[in-house]
Amino acid sequence: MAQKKALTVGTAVARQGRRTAGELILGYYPDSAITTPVNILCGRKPGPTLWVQAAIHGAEVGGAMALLQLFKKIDPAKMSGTIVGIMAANPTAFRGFGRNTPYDGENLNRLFPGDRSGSHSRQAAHVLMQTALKVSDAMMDLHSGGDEAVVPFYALYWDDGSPASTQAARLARAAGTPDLWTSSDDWLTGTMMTNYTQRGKPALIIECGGGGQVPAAHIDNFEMAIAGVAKAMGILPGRAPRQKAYRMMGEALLVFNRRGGYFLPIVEAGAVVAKGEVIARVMDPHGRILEEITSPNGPAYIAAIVRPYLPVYSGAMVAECIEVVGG
Amino acid sequence: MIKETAKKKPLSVGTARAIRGKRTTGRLALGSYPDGTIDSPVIIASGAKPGPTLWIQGCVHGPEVGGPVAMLRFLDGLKLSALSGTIVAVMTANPTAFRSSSRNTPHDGENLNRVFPGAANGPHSRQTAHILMRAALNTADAVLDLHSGGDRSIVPFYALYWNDGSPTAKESARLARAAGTPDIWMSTDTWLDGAMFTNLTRASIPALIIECGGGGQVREEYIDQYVSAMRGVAKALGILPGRAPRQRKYRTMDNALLVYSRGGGLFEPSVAAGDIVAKGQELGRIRDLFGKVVEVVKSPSGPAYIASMRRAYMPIFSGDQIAETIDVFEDR
Repeated sequence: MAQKKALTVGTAVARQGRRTAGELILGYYPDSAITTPVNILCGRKPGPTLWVQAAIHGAEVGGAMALLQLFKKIDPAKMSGTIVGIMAANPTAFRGFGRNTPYDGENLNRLFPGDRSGSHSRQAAHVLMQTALKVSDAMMDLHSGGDEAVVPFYALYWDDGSPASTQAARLARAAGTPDLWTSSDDWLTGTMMTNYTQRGKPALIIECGGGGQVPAAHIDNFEMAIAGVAKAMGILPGRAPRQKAYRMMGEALLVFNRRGGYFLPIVEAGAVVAKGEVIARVMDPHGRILEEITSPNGPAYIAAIVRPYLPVYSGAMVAECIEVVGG
Repeated sequence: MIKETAKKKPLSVGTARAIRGKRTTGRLALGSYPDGTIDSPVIIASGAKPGPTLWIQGCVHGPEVGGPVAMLRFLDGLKLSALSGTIVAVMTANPTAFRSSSRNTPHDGENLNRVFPGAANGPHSRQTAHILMRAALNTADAVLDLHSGGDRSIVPFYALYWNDGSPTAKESARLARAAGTPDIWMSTDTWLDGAMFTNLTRASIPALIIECGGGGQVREEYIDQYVSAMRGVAKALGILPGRAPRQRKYRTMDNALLVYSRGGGLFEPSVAAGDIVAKGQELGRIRDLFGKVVEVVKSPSGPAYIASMRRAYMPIFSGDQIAETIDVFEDR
């Protein structure tokens, strides 16, 4: 990657063999800049650049912890290339502990590629997109179920048959999980992963955990995913992990409840269910079961499910069921 | 100790009316939206035999949903033919906070459990407090208010009563010892002046807060603990047959201190809810997103019981309540 001389992200400047830090401006308050902390780990030897970002949905903090944990362990002397860590890709959502940008209520990960002169969240999307495309060869976006839902550990890439998709498929297999969602779902056209792939570079979403918890096992999973992809790219030495078998998944369906009450999940995140199988119930405050929620497809992987006893409104996104197409 | 209950004829709470030997339901109006009523579901379990009335309530703070879930479990386990007296269950004492999963009332930002006894003509949350207070005073011989750490903090399982030395406080102390936990906070802390249990105690109704769990989780273990508290207190009141549980020893505590952060970052707890710490002992660290520890939070007192702790990796602002420590007086 000879064309990249002094790699910079905001005020963070990569220095060979060093860990450096800075801030990237993603927007403005009325009185100052809205910034994310940036950590850069730059190997002694040249090589590709991996962009890793966390908390594009504010409450999904496990990825940021994994970046810190991994950066502490890696010796940059043994690295060939660079890892850029964007610690709070949606800083105000992170601060407000919400999924969406508080100011305009937008889901930042539905607005890519963004717009330099667009609305608030679209401007943030534009800066993330352009900065990542300028400095990196591949990107990973770390997600979780946040506070309200739980997700299993899986990798997701945009499958449009392009060389970048093929590259993404290779990196996904190095991410430490056997569960891969190869998506061409329309409702993901506005994600950073999709748009980055469409511009010719591989991108992954890594999902893990949530339900308001960040146990060490979830941090370790994220760390394994980043390290595995960095190995597959040749940034870190050693062989990337390979699974004995991969479970491939296609179309995802979002499941919404029709009645309000306490949510009682019956299956866990990561379970595989049959079409029509009862996956959850909704109970009213008197203890009556108002609704049984069934899987709209099958065999389907439970890629997200709301945490036990969360009070839900009608039309909450209570589960995500992805069709299992091979394994 | 229990007031004469004969004066209470057909006990009713909102639209819920007690019918001897039956479980009935209704709703208690606690305020109004611009376009309708703000109300809480109410369940009344009335025993075949007369006896005292225990009022139990959940979700004075919206996200503390372990209480109502456990209330249902408790009610489902009751044999009404063996019950002497009545259980009134107010399922969402702060309905709009419950609906928005918020600790405080969304409309006015008030912490409902700091504005008791409330005011009939006061601001929004004070009106709700007034209605809860009047309804409980009209019907209850004792009150249990079920709390947790909500979404952001974790609390151990303990009982709390207002210790003003009155006969009512003594009765609260007796009920607290029956609540299935050895950990009892006998509070004289002035910042709890506006809590419902404080004001009920002053109005001669023994009252406890039961704390348990949180951190966004409702584990089976938490539900079991709440149920043991409700069953134990109902036994101590003579509503349920059988002896109330007694612990081998009780840990009594007072003087709660709230510990606030001064820096911002992600929180890494060093001790767990329910631990006993020394004065000056590290409670947790705040790490910024560059990985630097910006603050080590220490216990302001000791030996102290960790009555509340922010959950692991919670993003922290300066001045967030990181922990609550309570001085341990006796452990015997």
